[in-house]
Amino acid sequence: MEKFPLKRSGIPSQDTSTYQSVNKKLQYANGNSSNVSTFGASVDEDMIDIQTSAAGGETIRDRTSRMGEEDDGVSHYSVSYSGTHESGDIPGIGQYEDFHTIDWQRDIARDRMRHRRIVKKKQDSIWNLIEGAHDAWSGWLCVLLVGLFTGAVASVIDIGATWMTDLKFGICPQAFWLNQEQCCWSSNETSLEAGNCSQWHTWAEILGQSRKGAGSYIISYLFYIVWALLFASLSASLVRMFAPYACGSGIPEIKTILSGFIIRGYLGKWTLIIKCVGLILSVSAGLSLGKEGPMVHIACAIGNILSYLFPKYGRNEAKKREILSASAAAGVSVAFGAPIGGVLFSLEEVSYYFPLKTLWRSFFCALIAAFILRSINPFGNEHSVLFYVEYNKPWIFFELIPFIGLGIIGGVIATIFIKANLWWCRYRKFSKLGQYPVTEVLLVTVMTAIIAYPNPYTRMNTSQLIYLLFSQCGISNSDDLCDYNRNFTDVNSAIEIAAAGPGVHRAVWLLILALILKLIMTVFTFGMKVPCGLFIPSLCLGAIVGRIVGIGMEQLAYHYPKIWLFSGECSTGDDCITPGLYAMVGAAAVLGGVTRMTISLVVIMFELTGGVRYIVPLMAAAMASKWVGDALGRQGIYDAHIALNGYPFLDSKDEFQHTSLAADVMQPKRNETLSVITQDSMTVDDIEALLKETEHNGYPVVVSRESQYLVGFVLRRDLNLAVANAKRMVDGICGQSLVLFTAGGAPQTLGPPPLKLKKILDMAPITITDQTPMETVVDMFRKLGLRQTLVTHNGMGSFSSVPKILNNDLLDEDLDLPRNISRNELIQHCQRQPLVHPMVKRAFRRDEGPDSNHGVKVRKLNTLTKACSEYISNPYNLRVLQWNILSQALGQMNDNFAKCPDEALAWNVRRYLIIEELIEYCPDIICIQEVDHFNFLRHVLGTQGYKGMFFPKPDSPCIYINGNNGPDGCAIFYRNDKLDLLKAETRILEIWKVQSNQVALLMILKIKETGQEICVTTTHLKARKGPLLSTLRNEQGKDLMHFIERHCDNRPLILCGDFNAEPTEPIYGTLLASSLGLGSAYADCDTTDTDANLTSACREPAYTTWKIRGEGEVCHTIDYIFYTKDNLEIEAVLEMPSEEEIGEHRVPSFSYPSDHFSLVCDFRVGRC
Amino acid sequence: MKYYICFLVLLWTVTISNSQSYEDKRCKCICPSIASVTNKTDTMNQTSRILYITNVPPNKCNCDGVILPRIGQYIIGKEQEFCPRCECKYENRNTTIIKVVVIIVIWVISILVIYMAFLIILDPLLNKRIKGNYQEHTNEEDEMSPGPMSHNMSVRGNVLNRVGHQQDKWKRQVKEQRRNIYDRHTMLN
Repeated sequence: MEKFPLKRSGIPSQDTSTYQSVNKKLQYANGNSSNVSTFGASVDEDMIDIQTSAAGGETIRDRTSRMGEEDDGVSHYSVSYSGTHESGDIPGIGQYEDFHTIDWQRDIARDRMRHRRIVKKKQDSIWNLIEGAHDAWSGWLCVLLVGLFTGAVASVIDIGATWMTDLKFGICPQAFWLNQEQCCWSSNETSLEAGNCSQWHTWAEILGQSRKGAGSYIISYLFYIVWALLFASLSASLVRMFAPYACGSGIPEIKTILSGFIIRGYLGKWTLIIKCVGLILSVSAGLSLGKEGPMVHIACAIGNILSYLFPKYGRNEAKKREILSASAAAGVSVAFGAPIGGVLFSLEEVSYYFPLKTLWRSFFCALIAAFILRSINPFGNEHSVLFYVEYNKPWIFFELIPFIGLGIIGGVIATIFIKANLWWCRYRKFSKLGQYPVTEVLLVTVMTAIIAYPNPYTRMNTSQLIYLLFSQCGISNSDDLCDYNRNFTDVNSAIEIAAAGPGVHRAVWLLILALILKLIMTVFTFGMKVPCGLFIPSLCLGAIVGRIVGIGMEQLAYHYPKIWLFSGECSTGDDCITPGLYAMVGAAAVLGGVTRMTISLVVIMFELTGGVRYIVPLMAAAMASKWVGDALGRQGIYDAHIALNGYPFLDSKDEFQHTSLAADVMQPKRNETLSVITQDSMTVDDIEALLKETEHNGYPVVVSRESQYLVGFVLRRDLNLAVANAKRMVDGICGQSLVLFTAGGAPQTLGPPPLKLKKILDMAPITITDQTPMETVVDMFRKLGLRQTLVTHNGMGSFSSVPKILNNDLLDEDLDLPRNISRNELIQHCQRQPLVHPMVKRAFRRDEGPDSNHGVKVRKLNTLTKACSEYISNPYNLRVLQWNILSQALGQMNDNFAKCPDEALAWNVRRYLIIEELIEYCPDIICIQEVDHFNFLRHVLGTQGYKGMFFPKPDSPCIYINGNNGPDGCAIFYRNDKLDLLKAETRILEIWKVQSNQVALLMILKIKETGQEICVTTTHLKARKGPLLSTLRNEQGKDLMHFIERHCDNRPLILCGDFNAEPTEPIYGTLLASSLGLGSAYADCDTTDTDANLTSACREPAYTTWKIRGEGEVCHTIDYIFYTKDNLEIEAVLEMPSEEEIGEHRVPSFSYPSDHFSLVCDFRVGRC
Repeated sequence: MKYYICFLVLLWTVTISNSQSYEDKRCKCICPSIASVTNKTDTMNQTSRILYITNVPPNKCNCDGVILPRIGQYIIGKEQEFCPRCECKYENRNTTIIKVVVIIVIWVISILVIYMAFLIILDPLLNKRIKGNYQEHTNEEDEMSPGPMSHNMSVRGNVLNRVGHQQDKWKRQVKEQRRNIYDRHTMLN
């Protein structure tokens, strides 16, 4: 509903949850069924069409029941997709704005329409047949291409990264493009120090230093740091310059995008190029990050770019996500050389909408990508990852315990990591640090390089370290880690278990240091503004822990081979414990804890090892780690980052806990006005004004304003495009053209040709009722992938779905009053009632206008505040009381007065207070609003000699409230002994020629003694705040003035009512500026400031209503008495009670029955 | 266009220098030192290993084919003891691909760096004249509206015009991205 916050140029720090509302958007539509005859008359051909074509009897039943007596008012909806067909003639229809959510249902329906059309045309010609065939296989072709390109790009990154990583250490002068290992690949030397062949020159050697020694060490150290800095700065500045979206891992964003969000440019070509290059550079810089996570982003970017070759996918965001899901699978497939793992990763971790078709395509795509990578063979080891290892040792059952232990440790490490990283990222987001992205990268790089170089395990490439930790100590492994006191003299090929040599102890210490360093550096690295992945660092952390635990177990088995734990399996002297396997399990545990993957992780790990027999240990560890992780912190790193960034991601794993209803969360909120478009009565100008005034993403289309039956839903973007397109392309379309959403011909007009927009109308929007529980709503959003849903209800402005409760004015039969009771008796009777407190005391204020020559009398009034008997009702004076008495039903059930005790709102209490207030001041004319107990008032006021008239609202919100007392409306009472009723008129106020739910009541009265005629009008305008509503009120005001002008002629006019508008609103000015020459009584009688220049609006009282709602305190001026200045004079007005008199809980209270205060005004009419 | 030329140049370099002596196949054997079988107790580095790399067909990549021809004379009679301790692996690689890829990577990075330098240093100077008329659109995603530059650039050629327009659109997008990430921190934190 709201314009997307990102597009607002504003304060940098924004609420993190700003995106959320985009996705969870409910629109409110009224399915008004108040006026049966209106419905019958306004049904056009189109609706009848739909109704007869509706498959089930549901719609028909609705209809008949609406016509009949049941009248449950269920909103009418159609079962037709006719609005969703491809509308190719308007460019841009069906696409989305940046940072918007897509409408899965609509896009899928669009694709089905397209598909049907192709199938239908298949028979027409050979060309169409070929077209159909191309359409059928284009999905497979697209994923094939995605697989090819992903494999190729992945191998480029692999080769580039390994080469550049080794560039930090030295160069292969004969073939500079080879890395260290490849350089020495075919060296014929029989030395052992692997990689130390003569072809490879370290930088120290090139500078003429020897291979060993302090000088060469320092030079190498310096070169290491300088290269790292160079690479990191290049990476950061390329990202900053060309494609800022290329930074980070990308998986949280991919998840969000796959769930149906649009981030323009996130999967574009620049992002792809910069991500690849930046990834190579940042991996080579020796930062604690990996290239596996960004590989998913890269693959998705490839998928996005290639999908534009196939319009079926490129033009349909929902279909495109099928390709993107497959691409994500290919990304993991090339990252780990694990095609199945990739498919499962896509299914488990990133995808949102994953039909079987996509599963097979992902499978195929992952297969192709892995095949390409494998055939390019970037590592020269016949595998697509550097750290591929092969195990063949069985594991002992007992080992499950250390494996589970590893899982627990992994979960703990992962939680520490997530918490720390999130804390750091939040700090970066909200502090000054975020303003120096490149500097931050350089600092972290320098720190990492300085600390990492001395420790050989951190100096080497992280993938190599993982490989080292995973691998078994065989004959070919000469690292410290394999410095066991074993000799290879035994003829038996089996490697025996052996005591750890000093090298192993040294290695373990270095590994512990490496663990701490890696953990800390990764916390600071992940989230920097360079491409960086998380898989490799977390695998590495886990592998280090696992290896250390593994070595410990191994030594335990060596020293105590006979204990029962090992069930005799280690007693033979064989190497029964494989530390490498522990490393692998540990790696799986940490990665599982960080990302909360389970199935895909296990599959990836076992595809890495090529051994099915280790599935159980991996499963145990992954599960334990997930449990521990979930217990310590709810979210995985990706979900946490999604939450941190506030992306609109509705996690299908979350449970919705609130018990709210759709009515509580919908936009606009209850009682606010919904912007709707009528199907055949708005002009292009109206539409454009609506588009300009509101920022909603779409508008419900209704039959007409009076009978707001839902016809369909139209998106803002489509409407914009269609109107702009029509203005450009279609002749004769101008501002006065009618906009038609109907199929039939235009209603015959003489004006310009109508603009037909039925093709952009979604005739089958998903609708729910306002009583739908939020669980259901959220489920619908998740499972159907909705962008919005329309909340329907049969009433305007009220929110209980109970059908209209027909209730007559019956509540007051317990009232027992004698027919002729005097005023004082009545007041005393009222005051005697239980729970009735003394009323708020108020005094009159006299008019001190210069032309007032009735000072004596007014002063008298001033002293006589409470006693009416002294009020001399004289034929030249009129006392008018204006009051919104607060409808019983609304006040009790709807208005949510927070501080008012329920007893005070009970009718049994309020009615006496109302009566007391009404007769207290002996008014000649009583104008009251929100009257829903008219019979009661007529009866009681009748005892005091009043007569009155009542006009209810056409669709009062009261009648939807249980236990209501009929509709509310406006009423005027007049003193029968003083005044005669000549004529009474009623009016349903119109907005732009359309009836609204507000009414006005007009009476022409004659003062019996003098024959002076006066015109009294009262109204109660639309409530609630907002620019649109204020416009609506203004329109109502204009209509009201027309109404008055028509009936009032030149009689003195007293117009009073609850206008629901503060003096600053346009309606106030509109009324004062009208040709009748109106003034506001209270403003004109203002004595506090004598400055004559003050406008009337500034002189109004500070408040006429003061209440505390659930949403907060409301204190403003919205009730007025207007009068014609040239034939009426004000003599006095009744002051508003002061704040102390009102009390801290404001009104309504035990002392005052309504949330509005009554306005009482003495007018002088006619000559004396 | 530039890229294609670069690529052709690159391919040419690659094909010319393909006669490099780096082999693409090898058989790699790792064995313990001979001392482990010759029973010489004085060897201190019993654990040290020796690497043998030769270029033999895959079926000959084993102890018999690689080790024995070289050191057979030292371990006569002990072959059956020594050979099982050797690990032989046949491996292949493709140096051409590696070379092409690395050169491509270097090219791409240098082009990007040069372009970046151009954008940082030269572009502001070149566009100074045009900048005066440039008005930033508030809605930068609005692709429907013709770019604000289209009038100013009419002096240049048609293709250049379009390229320039594209470039400006792209620059606006990047600017928006930068604002989202570096200034407002609404994404990718």
